[in-house]
Amino acid sequence: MEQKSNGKAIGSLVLGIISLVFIFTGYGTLMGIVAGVVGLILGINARKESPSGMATAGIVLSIIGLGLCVITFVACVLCVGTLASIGAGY
Amino acid sequence: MLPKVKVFGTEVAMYGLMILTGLAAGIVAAVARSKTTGQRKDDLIFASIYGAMGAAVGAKILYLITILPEIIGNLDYLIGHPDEAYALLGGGFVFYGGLIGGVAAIMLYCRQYKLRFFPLMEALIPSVPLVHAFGRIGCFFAGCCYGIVFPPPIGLYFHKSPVAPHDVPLFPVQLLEAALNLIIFAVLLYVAGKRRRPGFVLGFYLVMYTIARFMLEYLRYDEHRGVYSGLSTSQWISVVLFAAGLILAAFSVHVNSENDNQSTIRK
Repeated sequence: MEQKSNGKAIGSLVLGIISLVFIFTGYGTLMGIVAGVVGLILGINARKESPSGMATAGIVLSIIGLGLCVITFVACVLCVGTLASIGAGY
Repeated sequence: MLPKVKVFGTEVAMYGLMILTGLAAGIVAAVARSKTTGQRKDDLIFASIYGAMGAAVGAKILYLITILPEIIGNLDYLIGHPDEAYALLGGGFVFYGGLIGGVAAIMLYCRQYKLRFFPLMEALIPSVPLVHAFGRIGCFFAGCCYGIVFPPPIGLYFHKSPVAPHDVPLFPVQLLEAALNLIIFAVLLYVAGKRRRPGFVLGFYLVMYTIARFMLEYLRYDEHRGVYSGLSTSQWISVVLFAAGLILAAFSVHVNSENDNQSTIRK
């Protein structure tokens, strides 16, 4: 179980770093979001099974990567109305 | 108002910045109340993150459903212009979809780690209007979710907004909703501070917010609201969630009074 958790922690750490790399890549931020989400889920899972520094580091890096990717990606969350501007281009 | 700011030479959407600030504030508020709610701090943080991810997915799905006829009608255009299709993913979210998605994700978290749903959910519920208030301030900066045409000085011009009309003064309904959310947050802190039956705080929040949202919809002026039989999509969802909240709150009070009666009989 511990070895499995360790694998998840490593996965989380790697995906957290990958999501950080994607922050300033324009369309690539979408990949960063996916990497951050998966890294976060793996990290939480690993930390729940057996808490370790690597799992915590994975969670922290994934949160930072995901947050920064979201900031650059999201134009206006919770709003209905973007298609209004897109519609003008139709 | 101010849709984007430059941070280290990179343009950043104010909305994204505000929603993440709100999320951080919401998590801090939930963790600060961990002694009152009796929940573990790490569970509060992780469930909030699950909830946020579920909220983003739910809000996006409901938005896409709202504009489905336009998407189908302009499918050829979107295929020919991937930038516009990408913009559809980046912008446009519906709060109610987020609420449903967030609750579903927290349910999933509880199921995955074998936790009781209502105690954890209700420890997090007061944070929802706090995050939402920040989100609405973000909407104000972006100029989306704008209000009806209204004379100055209350009506404001959104000259820099990529969405709102520039030449007319608009009622800042985003700020009104942010203020109402902060009031709901304060009321929920008081309500959740006392011992309640499972479901009461969630039901109470649903009742309060749906009433506010139903009224605020009359002050909204932005397009693509999906009007059916004179009511917008959000108003229809408000009606359904109001009923659900009322049943949840009433049922928990009913159970509470029944239990009280039983304990009185036992005495």
